[in-house]
Amino acid sequence: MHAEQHTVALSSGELAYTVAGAGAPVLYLHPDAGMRWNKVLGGLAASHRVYAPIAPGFDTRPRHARVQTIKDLAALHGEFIDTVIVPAAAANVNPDAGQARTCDLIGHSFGGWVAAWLALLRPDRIGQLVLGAASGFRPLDAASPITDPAARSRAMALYPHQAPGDADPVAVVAANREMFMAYSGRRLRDEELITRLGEIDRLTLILHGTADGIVPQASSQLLRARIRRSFLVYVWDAAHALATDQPERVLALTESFLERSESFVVNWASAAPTP
Amino acid sequence: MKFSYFHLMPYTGLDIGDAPQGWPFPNAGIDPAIARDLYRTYVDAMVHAEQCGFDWVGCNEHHFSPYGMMANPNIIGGALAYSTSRVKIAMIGNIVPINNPVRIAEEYAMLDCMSGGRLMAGFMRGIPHEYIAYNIAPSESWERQKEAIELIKKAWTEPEPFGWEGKYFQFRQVSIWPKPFQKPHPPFLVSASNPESARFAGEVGATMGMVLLSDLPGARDSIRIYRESALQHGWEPTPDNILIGMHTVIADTDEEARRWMASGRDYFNKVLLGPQREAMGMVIRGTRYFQDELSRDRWHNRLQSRGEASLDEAIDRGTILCGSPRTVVEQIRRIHGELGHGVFNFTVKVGNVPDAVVRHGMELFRDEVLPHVRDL
Repeated sequence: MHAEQHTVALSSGELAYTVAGAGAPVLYLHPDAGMRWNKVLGGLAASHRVYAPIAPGFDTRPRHARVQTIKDLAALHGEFIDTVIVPAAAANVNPDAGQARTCDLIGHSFGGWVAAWLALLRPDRIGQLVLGAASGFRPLDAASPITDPAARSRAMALYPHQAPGDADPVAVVAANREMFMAYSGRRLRDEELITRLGEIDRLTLILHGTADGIVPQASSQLLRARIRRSFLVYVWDAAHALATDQPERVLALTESFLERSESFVVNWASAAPTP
Repeated sequence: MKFSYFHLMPYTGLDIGDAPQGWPFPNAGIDPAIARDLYRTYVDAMVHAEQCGFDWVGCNEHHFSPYGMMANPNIIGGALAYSTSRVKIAMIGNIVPINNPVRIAEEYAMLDCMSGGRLMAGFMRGIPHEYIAYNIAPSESWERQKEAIELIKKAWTEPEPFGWEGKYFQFRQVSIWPKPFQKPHPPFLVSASNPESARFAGEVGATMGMVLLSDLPGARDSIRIYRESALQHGWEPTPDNILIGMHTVIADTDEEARRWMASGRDYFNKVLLGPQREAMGMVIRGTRYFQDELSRDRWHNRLQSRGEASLDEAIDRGTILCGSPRTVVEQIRRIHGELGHGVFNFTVKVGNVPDAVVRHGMELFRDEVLPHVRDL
C-alpha cells in the first residue's frame, strides 16, 4: 500500500499529512514521539483511507502561531477534516466511503489527548474513537513521571527494535518532546477535559499496554469510567508504544472495532458453514 | 507456625498387583461407589482438620489418574466453604496454564465470597504430564502462566469491565460477578520447587509453596532464590510466605507410623505415581516445560529418587514426617530450624494409608504435636 505525502493550507498555516488506502476515512493523531507510518496504519489502509497529519512543530515542521494549546490542535484537526477528509469522500476519491461526513478517529498518547478534545469540540465530524494510552489524564496520586531521556526511552517500548524506520536523530526527539510540553502547558492532567469526558458520546475503544511505564493504567481506567459508551482493552506484553510492541494485536482490535462497533466483543471466527 | 492439611484425594480401589501400566491410566475399572465413599471420607476428614487445629485445608488439581480425584479442586473448596468457619480454603491449586483464566478468577471469587474471605488462591503450573491431558503444549507453560496470572488479577481488581488481548488468552470484555471478598484480592501461592519457579514466585509477589519436598538443600536454595527475587522486585517475604510440605504419618508409636508410611509409600510409588513417571519423562525430555537445565535436572532427579529412597533415608533427609507425636515434634523442629518457613503442609493420605489411621493421626497432632510447635 503506497502512502502519499501531501500538504494542505489551513486557516492557521500549512499542515503536512500522509494518506494511504481506500475505504471509510480514519484520522490518526500521532504521539509526542512524532508521526511514524507503522504496521497498524499500514494494516488499516487495506480497508480504510488513513490520514496521518504531522502536528505543527513536530518532526521539524513549522509551528502555527495561532495554535498554542491541545484544544487549539483539536480545532485545527477539525478544520482538516472539514477541508480534506469530507470533501475527498464527497468527491468520490474514496469510492468505498460513499458520502461520509464523519471519520473515525485514532489517537495515541499525546494524540489521544488531542483526539478526546476533537471528539468533544466536533462531534459532528467524528464517528468512532480509539484512544491508545492517552496522556492528559494522569491520576493525582500517580508516581512522578520519568524525565530522564534514557530511562524514558527504555520505558517506552519492550521491543524497540520493532519500531518502524530508522531512529530519529536525538535533536528531533528532543524537539518533539519540547513541542509536547509547549502544547500541554507542561502538565499531564487536563482538568477541564476530565470534567467534560462525560460529554463524549462517541463509541470509544481505549487501549493500554500492560507494561506501559509512561502513562499509568489508571489514566485509561478513568477514561473508561467517564466515557459512557466505551470499552477498555489491555494489550498484553506491550509498553507505551503499543503499535511498536504488539502491532498485530492492536491492528486486530482496531479493525474489529471500527468494522463492527459494539459487536467487536463477539468472537466472529467460526468453522461452521455459511447458512 | 501455621499448619496446612492437604489431601491428594487418591482413588485407592486398585490393588498393587493389578495396577495398570502405561499412560494414560485406563479408567474402565473405576467403581463409582468407591469414588463416592472416598469423596465423602476425604471431605469429612478435611472438615475435621479445622477441629484438629489446622490453619489451612486444601487440595490441588490432577487429571486422568487415580493419583488424585480432583480434576477441579474448586468443587472440593465449595464443599469446605460452608462446612468450615476458620481455616483458610487452600486451593493449591488450579493449574493456570491449561485452564480458562477467567473461569479460575470467577470460581476463586466465588469461593472467597462463600467462605467469607478465607481463600488462599493457588496459581500452579502443574506437573508436566498434566499438559497432555488438556492438549496444551508444555513448552508454552511459562508464558501461559505469566499471562494468565496477570489476567486473573485484573479480573479481580479492575474497577470497570475490561478486555484482554494477549498471546494465549483473548477476552474482549471481562466483568466477573462476584469479585473476591478479600481486598485488593486474595493472597496467592505459586509452586517454587525449582530455581525458575522460585524466581517467578518472588517476582509476582506470591507465597511460595513446595508441597512435597524432595530434599532440604534444594529447598534451602529455592527459598534463597525466592527471597532474592522478591527483594529485587521491591518486597520482603515473611515466614508465612513460605510453605513447606511433605508426606506425614503420625501414629501412637514410631514403629506403627513407619509401618503405615512404608505401605502407603509403596502404594503411592507403584500404583498412583507409576505410569505418570513415564508421561512426565516424555514431557521433560521432549519439551521446554523447564526453561533452564538446572530446574529440569532437579525435577528429573526428584522423579527418580522419590521411588528409590528408603524410609530411613527419607526421614534422615527431612522429606517426610513419620513417627510418634514426640518424634514428629522433633522432626518438625529440625526441618523448621533448617528452612525457617512459616507454613507446614501435611499430605496425610499417603497412598492407601487407612483413613482411620489418618484420622487418628490428625487427633494426635491436635493433642500431642501442635501444642509443642505452634510457637515456632
